[in-house]
Amino acid sequence: MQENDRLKDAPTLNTGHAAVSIGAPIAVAVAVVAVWQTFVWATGVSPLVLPSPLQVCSALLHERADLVEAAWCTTCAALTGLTASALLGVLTAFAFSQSRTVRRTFYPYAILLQTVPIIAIAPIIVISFGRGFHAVALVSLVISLFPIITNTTTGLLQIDSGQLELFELHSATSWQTLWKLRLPSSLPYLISGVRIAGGAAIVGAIVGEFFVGSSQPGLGSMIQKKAAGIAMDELFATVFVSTLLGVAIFGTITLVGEWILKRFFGMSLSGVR
Amino acid sequence: MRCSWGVVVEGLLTGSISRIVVIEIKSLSHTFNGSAQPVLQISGLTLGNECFVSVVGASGSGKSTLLRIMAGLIEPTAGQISLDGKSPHEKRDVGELGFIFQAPTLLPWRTAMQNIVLPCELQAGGSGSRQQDVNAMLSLVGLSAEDTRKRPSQLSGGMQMRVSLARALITRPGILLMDEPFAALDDILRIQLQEDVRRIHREQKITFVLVTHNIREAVAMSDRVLVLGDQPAQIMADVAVDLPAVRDNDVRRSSEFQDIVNEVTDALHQVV
Repeated sequence: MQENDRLKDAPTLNTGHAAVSIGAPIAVAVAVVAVWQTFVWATGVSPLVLPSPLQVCSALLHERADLVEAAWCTTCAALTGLTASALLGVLTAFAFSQSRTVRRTFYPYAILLQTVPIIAIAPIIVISFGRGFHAVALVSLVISLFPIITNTTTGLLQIDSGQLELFELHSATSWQTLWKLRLPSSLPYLISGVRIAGGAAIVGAIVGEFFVGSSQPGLGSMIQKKAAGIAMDELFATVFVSTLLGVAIFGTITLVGEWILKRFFGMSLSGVR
Repeated sequence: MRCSWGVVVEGLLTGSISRIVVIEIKSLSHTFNGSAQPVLQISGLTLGNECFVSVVGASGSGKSTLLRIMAGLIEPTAGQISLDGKSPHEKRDVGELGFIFQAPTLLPWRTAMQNIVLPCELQAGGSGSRQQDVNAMLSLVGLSAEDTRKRPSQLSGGMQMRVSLARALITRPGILLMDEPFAALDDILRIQLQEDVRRIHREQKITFVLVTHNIREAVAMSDRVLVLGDQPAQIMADVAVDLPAVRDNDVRRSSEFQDIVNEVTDALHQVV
């Protein structure tokens, strides 16, 4: 039908610029690495101050077994923290969405989660809960909880007014409105919250590992060890892997989240911050 | 029981069931919270008897408020409104009231079919629906079985509006309220849907109330046009549309049609 044809044309608007949107950031990365390498060559700066990209690459290669193991430990702790914060965050958001009084009473405390410096409470958590996996996962949880609470609460409360009127018109019970309207509507917000929380959870795990020390292997303890030993090339390699891990978690959650939304719910993340 | 399909579709197709809803309004007024002036003031009005009534007025003139009061979505601050002697609430609870929103207002995670049967699910004691009967209903609004397996995002704006129409009709309402349903559609699609809604009105024999700011649309669709004044909204003119039941191109181009359009336009100008 002619009505449908018009619809098919719409998505082609974006595809023309795909090459630019991928190519441009890569060009910047190549340029930065080239300038960095040239600078190290030209100035002859000591590798103890600034290792060259080639030295970092070689450190990446010969430390790869340790790096992969450390990254795995950090990922496990971060994902444990993230899963726990997703569960806790959704329950809290649900409670917030049910009553204005609950929201007013407890929201300031949720904000505390966001404003307290994670670097300051990490040692408290480590001392209270012992130098182990739990403590690291708990730091992850604390840092990743806030985005999930705020996003999901927003999703549960920001319902299209027409859809709410539709449910009112058919005398829907509050349970029906929650189950058939509010929960599915809030899903893109929840996924967007988990996506932001995912990157934060990795940061939390690394910070936690700083204070736990060598008893819990991970990128954080590795960074600490390399810094203490002034192994700059290996330190850069570890920092590089840590950054990559955050990006990988963010990207994976985005892709999987988009796929679930599109495949099972006919929605997308695009309308959500 | 409302969604027992054998009865519904048989009734729709043969026209044997006529569910007359008469709307009666007495000294109705509505003032929004914190506002000194009422947005709406209607001393008396009776509509119904399978009539197709349009309400025209400038944007923000309170037309939508009037429609929402009829639907029981807004409780008026003063006055009375009754549908067949009952409150809008009572009519609504038993599914005798259909409402079409300005946007299709479909749930994106449901297929078109799941959207259409939503009112049956929400209605207390609503039962399932038989496939063959649903299909008969789909052809009434111009949807194919294949369309109904799609999600709203896969349907064009016109198709989404048809799904919305099917959803409003599924509980077999005696009155259908429409809040500028075609405002977002292009001209060709709008005329096509207007003709389809006219046809559905003739076949279903129920009361339709359409709110619109498009004068030609109001005249093309209705048997009666009410012109609403501004602040507070009150009825300035009540124009009977004495035209053939089928409003095809010839009718839309006739001088009689144009005369009525002029009459409504003049009434609206006096307001402004």
